[in-house]
Amino acid sequence: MVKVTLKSAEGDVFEVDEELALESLMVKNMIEDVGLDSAISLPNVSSTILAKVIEYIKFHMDAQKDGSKKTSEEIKAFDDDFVNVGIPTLFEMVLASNYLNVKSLLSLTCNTVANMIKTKPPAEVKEMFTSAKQAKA
Amino acid sequence: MTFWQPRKLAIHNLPCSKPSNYRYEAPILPSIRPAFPRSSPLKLGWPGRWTTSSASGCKGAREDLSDELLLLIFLHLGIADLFRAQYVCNKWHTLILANLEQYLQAYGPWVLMANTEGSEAIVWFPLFGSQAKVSSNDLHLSKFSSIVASYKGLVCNRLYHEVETLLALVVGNPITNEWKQLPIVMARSNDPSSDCKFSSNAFEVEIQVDSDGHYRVLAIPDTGIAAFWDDALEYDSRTDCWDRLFPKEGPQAERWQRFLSLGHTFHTTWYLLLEVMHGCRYWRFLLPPVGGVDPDMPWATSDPLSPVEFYYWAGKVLKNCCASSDMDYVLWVATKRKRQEPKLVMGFVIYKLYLDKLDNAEIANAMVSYKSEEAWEFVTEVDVKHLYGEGWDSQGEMSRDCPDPGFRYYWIGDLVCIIRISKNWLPVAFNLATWEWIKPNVDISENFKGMSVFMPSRILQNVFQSQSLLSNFITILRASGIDEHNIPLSGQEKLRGCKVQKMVSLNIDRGST
Repeated sequence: MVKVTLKSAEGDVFEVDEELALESLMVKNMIEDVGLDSAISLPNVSSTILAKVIEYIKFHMDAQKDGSKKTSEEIKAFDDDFVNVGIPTLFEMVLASNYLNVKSLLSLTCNTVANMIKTKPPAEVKEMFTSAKQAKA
Repeated sequence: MTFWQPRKLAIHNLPCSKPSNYRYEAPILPSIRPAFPRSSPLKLGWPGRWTTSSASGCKGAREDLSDELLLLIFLHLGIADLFRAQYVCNKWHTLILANLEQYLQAYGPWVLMANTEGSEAIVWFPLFGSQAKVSSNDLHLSKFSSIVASYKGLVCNRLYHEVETLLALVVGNPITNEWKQLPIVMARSNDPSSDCKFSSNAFEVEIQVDSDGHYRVLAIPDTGIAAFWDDALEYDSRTDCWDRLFPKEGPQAERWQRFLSLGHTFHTTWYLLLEVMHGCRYWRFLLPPVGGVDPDMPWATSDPLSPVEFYYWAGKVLKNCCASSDMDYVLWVATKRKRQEPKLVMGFVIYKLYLDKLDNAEIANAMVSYKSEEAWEFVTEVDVKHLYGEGWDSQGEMSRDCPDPGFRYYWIGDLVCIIRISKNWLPVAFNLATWEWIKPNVDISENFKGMSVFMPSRILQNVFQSQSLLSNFITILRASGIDEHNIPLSGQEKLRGCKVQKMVSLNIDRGST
């Protein structure tokens, strides 16, 4: 199987299956443009986040494969657990999934953020977002 | 792609038997993205090339969530949360307001239903057949007694007051939960020497919202022509005080005096006038023009005004109104009753009248004899039992005083919503595009009995175009929320409870009549 090398913002190198990498439309376009020879540099994505994104894509690809015994409950449980992270990490995942153009992950993370906003008074939402910004800075 | 459709668009599964000018037809959400203003380089779904130079190449630098991403997130919010979210910060406010139209189009018109205790409420979207619960914390409906008027997103509630001759009203936006208590006025008899004060319940209340976000509340007493003239009041949010509706002096006063003296009896005039006021929802049109007298207007003649003449004038008002919109027809909802039991409503019949094909006189004739005239196109008829089953109409007691007091009809685009504000009555909607009756999925045995209803807008009650609904609604939201906009609602004291906060005596010269 052909491997693709992804390079995170910190310079860490991730070697993944081509099939997996193509789930990111951004990486797919890069591969089409520059080919598979050199590592694909992703300066906007940190190693932790990139590892998470790869984990997500890998799980969902396995779940979709024939013979996969994963039930929809299991998939949902994985998704719930996957986005059960701190707000700064969640925002980074929104940004990364947008940057990498992984539609399903973008939808999942956006929905998670929306659920956090729901039923909260504006002041609380504001505090949530401000603290997330400070944590990032 | 389910991602773009947060709500199930059940409407698309309905059979569409008639040619449609249905304005909500296409799901708006899929096309929402290209319409967003681009403040930053497009990052979503770019065409296929990515150069690192356009990204913030700085290592470890974290950008804030871009506008596009925020809008994506907002797509997952419900309507109530969306409205709340615009008060988080200026950026969100601008962002949501700029795109609210598209969000709202995606939701369509909606009806707010609250249970008797006001502890729970449901937002019902007739066009999509969906509904959502609203947290009771967000809607302090229990504080108020009854909704007496609503317009363009604002509702007017009556407050209970131990002194029943005092008229206490609250205006607010139930979605953003901002309320403003209007100054309390004394509802008194026109005779200053008399002790006889009439109850504040004798007032018909109407609210009108102007394009600048300010609103006026009209209170007309139902106690005789002299009171009508003397005690009809108008509240203006610009001045924050009540004043006479009909000026006592000047050319306007003369015209109104003359107009009011035209009717055969007080009640004919009053009901006709109220009907047009309710019907047009634009009662300012009724005021005689300041400069010059229109020979077609009733105050130009001194003869008594027949209903046909009155409607002739009403038709003219209607046509004037529709000239500024794309309104081309009027709908008429007639209640259907058993012949022997006039109090029992059996169902509704809807008729349609095409204004552009008729002249004023024809409109007047059609409006007077609407059921028999050929000008009216029969739209549909429905039995309420068919909608809600046996027992639904068992409490349909009608008041003796007014023809159809409890019913409110709303027209939004091709949607007709019929609402009975009383016990056990739920709204029903008729979709003119799909020819379907729609009702909310609420168990009648649940608490949603007494019900307060409100729609984002009724421009002219008869017709409406979605674009102006939305822009007007946006005006209201803008007006009712943000301090720097010089707002009627939040710039002033906010209501914290039902306590009477201040008494404002009405400074009106009441000379002998």
